[in-house]
Amino acid sequence: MTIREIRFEWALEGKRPGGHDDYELLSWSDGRLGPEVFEEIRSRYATGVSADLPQVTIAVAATKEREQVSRHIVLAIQEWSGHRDVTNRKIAYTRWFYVPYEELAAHRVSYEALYLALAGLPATPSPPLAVPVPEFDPTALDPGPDARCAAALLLTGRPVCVVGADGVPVIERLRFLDTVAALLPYGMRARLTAATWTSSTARHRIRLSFARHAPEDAYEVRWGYGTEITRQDGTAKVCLDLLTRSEVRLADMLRGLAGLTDPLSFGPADRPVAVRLLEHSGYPEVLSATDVRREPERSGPEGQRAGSSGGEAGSATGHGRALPGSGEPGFRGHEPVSAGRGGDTPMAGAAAPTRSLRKRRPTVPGRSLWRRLGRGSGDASAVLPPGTAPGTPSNPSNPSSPTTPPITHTTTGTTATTPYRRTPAEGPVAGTMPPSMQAALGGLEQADRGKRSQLRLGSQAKLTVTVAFATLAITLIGVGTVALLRSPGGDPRAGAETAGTEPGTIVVLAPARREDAFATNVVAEVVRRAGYRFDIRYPPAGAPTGEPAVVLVDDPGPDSALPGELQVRPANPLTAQGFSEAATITVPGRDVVVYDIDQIRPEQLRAAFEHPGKEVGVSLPDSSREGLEQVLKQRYPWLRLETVPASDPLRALRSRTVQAAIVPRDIARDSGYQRLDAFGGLLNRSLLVLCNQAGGCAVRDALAKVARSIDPVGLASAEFDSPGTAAARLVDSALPPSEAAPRPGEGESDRGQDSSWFALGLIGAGGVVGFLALLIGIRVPSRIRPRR
Amino acid sequence: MQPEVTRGRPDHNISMWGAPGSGKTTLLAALFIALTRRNDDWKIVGSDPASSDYLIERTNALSRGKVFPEASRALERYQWTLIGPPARRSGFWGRKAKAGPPTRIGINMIDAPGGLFGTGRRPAGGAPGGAGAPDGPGDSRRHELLDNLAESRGIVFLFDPIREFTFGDAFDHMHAPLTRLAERMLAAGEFGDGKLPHHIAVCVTKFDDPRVLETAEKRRLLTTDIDDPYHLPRVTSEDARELFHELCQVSASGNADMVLNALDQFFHPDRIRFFATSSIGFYVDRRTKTFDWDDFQNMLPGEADEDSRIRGQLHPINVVEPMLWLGQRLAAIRPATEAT
Repeated sequence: MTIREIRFEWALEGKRPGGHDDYELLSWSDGRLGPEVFEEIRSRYATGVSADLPQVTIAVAATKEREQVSRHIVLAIQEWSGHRDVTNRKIAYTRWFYVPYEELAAHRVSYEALYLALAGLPATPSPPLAVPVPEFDPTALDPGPDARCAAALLLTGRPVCVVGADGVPVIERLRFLDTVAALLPYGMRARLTAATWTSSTARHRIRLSFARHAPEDAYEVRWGYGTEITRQDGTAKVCLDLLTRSEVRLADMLRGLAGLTDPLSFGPADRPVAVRLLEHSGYPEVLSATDVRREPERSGPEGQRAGSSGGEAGSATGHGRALPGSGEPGFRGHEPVSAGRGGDTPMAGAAAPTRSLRKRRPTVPGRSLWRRLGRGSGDASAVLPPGTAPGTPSNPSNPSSPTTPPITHTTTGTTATTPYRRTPAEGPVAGTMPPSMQAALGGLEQADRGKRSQLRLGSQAKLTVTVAFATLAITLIGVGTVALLRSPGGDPRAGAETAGTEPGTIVVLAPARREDAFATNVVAEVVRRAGYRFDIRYPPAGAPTGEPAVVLVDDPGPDSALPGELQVRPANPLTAQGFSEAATITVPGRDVVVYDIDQIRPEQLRAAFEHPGKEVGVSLPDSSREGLEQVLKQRYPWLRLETVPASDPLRALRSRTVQAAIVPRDIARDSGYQRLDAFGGLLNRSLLVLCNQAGGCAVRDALAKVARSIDPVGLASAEFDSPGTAAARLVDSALPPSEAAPRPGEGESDRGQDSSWFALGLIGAGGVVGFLALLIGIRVPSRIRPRR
Repeated sequence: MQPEVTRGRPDHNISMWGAPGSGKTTLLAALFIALTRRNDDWKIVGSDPASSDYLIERTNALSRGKVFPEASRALERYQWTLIGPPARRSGFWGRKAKAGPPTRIGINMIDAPGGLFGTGRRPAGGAPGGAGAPDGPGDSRRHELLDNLAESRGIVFLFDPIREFTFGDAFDHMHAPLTRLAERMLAAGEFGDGKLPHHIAVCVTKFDDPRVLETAEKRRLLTTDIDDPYHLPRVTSEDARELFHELCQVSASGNADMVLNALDQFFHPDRIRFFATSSIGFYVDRRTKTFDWDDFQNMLPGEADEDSRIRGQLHPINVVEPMLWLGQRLAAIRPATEAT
């Protein structure tokens, strides 16, 4: 195996240890290439950061200096540096190595060999900047279906992404990239960008990549399997057939491809050339004589661009400048088209390779490929049939395209463009019909006209049909309107509500406080069970007059459980509006008692509340409802009360200075302490339930019954933490289903919806029929006129 | 076997904007956890497999691995859908209201390396103004970033008060992209009223840092959510602007107040909202389940060769809120095609 010395230049990207800046170029070689080139390339080929390093990216760079284009293969090795930044994040280094393409091509070096030679160098290599690299032996490769598919798909011009290789080591991935590249002419490495890892969520410019998920615009190839390529895939299918043909020895093909070192791009101009080279690669004697005539280069923008780049290249630094667009696939989106961003378009440097293939003359026909890429193959248009003179309209694959571009004739040193003209031999223009077809279609048209004329109506018939349609329309609309008006789902009539024959809506006016949600839910549930719908309103809405309503008001009297105080029944504030008291609903208090089971048993605690005995400490938050502390002191003067901050109401209990604590329900739920259930010793608020006459007796009675069933002692239990559920449960127990009235409200509502939709359907149908009547009246001719 | 190019695209582009290390990626990584911790019905779902993967991996890394994400190196795009509770539809002619389908807001989130927002220091020896200059026309990632900002109508701007206190470069990471963005919008005719058309959620990050929390407490800006079982301190959106202003006073460069002025100059007042955020939240003892003023730091700074780690459970603060605010505002202006 021959070992060759390969020169290189380098740049180091990373962060300074302990630095607070983002990733940047830290150091670079002082060679022909300047930091602008390094900066441009590292920015263009960013692939994201992998958690699994090292990873390798293959990029390309072309620079132009004094009209001389030089190409570089860029090998970027991303690895952990062992340093950390100011936020203690690990710093990754990316070492960018720029190797002149001509040196690689002369020695046919593989990516893997290059990586192994460069990876061992220090982060900032010192001169002499050259490493020994063994020559590439392509015959040692054994391409699998995945590599063959990837190579075939790359020749379509779109990026290819390999998925399903999550656990595969980087060296094996790199070998795969080498294998795919070996299935293409070696010269395509001058433009091939590849990476052993790319972020699935980053939009990158790598043509052949590994990722967990393929980008949307890329072909997906599964590691070890490849992908299904069918005839619909055109060029890819042709290329895959070429790569899997049995009549050619694989070693011959790989050896032949490795010898084709003239730079080739993945653009539409060079891809057909690459396909032809691929076809001939198995036949060394044919390959040596094959003409791979490329499409004439576009002279205008590319040439101008090269010129401007050349001007830039003569900058003060004297360094070459990167020519963009050298390797990345064409990406959708709005890539800013700065000077020279060309995607796949060949750049000026590519137009004049050192050993121009264009100079050769065609000597060997390639008919088999021509047949494969013939009519119907999208990319075949760029392949010229053998023997065709340059400049002739030799594009029979797409003869009818109205957008055929002008053919560019290249002469010595000048370029002239002439418009393309169709020749009779190329057949008709798309959209025109041959005479025989025109005749056939003409006969059909005549027959169709005859049929249509038979369907024409007389004036009598027209009038009859119009009137019939109009009548039908009026009938449908009328019936629909009546049905809609009679629909029971509409707003209830006040009289019917009062009589109770047709249950409607009862307004429930409730306080907006969270702790009163229980009472509101109870009333709403009772109303619903009584067969009415409810409409809950909150202040500042006032008590409605003239419509059935239930109003919940605060019980302004003292707590009923407080001993020794006068029980005062509050005055009904809405008497003047016809509201009378229906019930008093006790609502669960906001606070409950929790205790430490390790310190005190529940029965002991209950006993401590009931009578003096063993001293028991109870803590209560400083934000407790006003008066709770006073009430507790009055009721249970023997208890030792300790006030704690509301932000941590369990503090005293945790520190074991008290045996029990009064805490809000939500704290009690998640506190991990036991709760003292069936305890009515704390303040329980009550709400007065007022009904007007329109509310009906059934609701009033049901409310009273439910309110009576509330046990104030049980309100402390966890069952009452969720007001909605607790209310439904309470009403269920107080009003068994047998007693509860059917729910006409809901049923009526649904039926009302159904019937109203039916009515609307009728009206709609009537409208359509009416429109038809109008059309018939206006558009249909009144006489049968024979047409010619 | 054609590549798939017709996946459904979220309609609303939202860009992250902030200096390196300000917590852009961590904030996105904590989104799933933050939504899960809420009691409402909002959830986040990836709109493509790669974006779903990100949610899964980042959530696992934060909640189980307790490690912060690595610094971004490329422009990352995540396509997510925020799915919320159904919108109530009014009944026909005042009839019974029906629950509509769930609210869906598609967002296309762009997370760029923080360095791209900087002024673009040129590597030593570089030629000025050249194609390869970091802030010059040749820097493709900056171009892409500006394209994304111009396409976006929502921006999540992260202000890192700790970094500002130490290095004072928040304004440096704001004015260059902002000026270029305004230039583009002006050229596109979308700067007619002198303001950018974007909504911007200004997030004061690292609220869990004691210095930030103490500043908020000193200004009496702290509150607690009544529905929060842990009683974690928060700063309301209304007060977050004052916190921002207060933190600007301790800027190392003294330029931070210009950030506030620039925001007011370039954005409509009703399109700016401030949030005091913390992606990891405060430490809460699993036994007490309550915020403790004496022990609330949730980040454990790593030793010499260790990653910084998260001490306890994550309780993200105001991580979802900026996204929901932007998503809802953008959806109200221009309903997404896939919104139902």
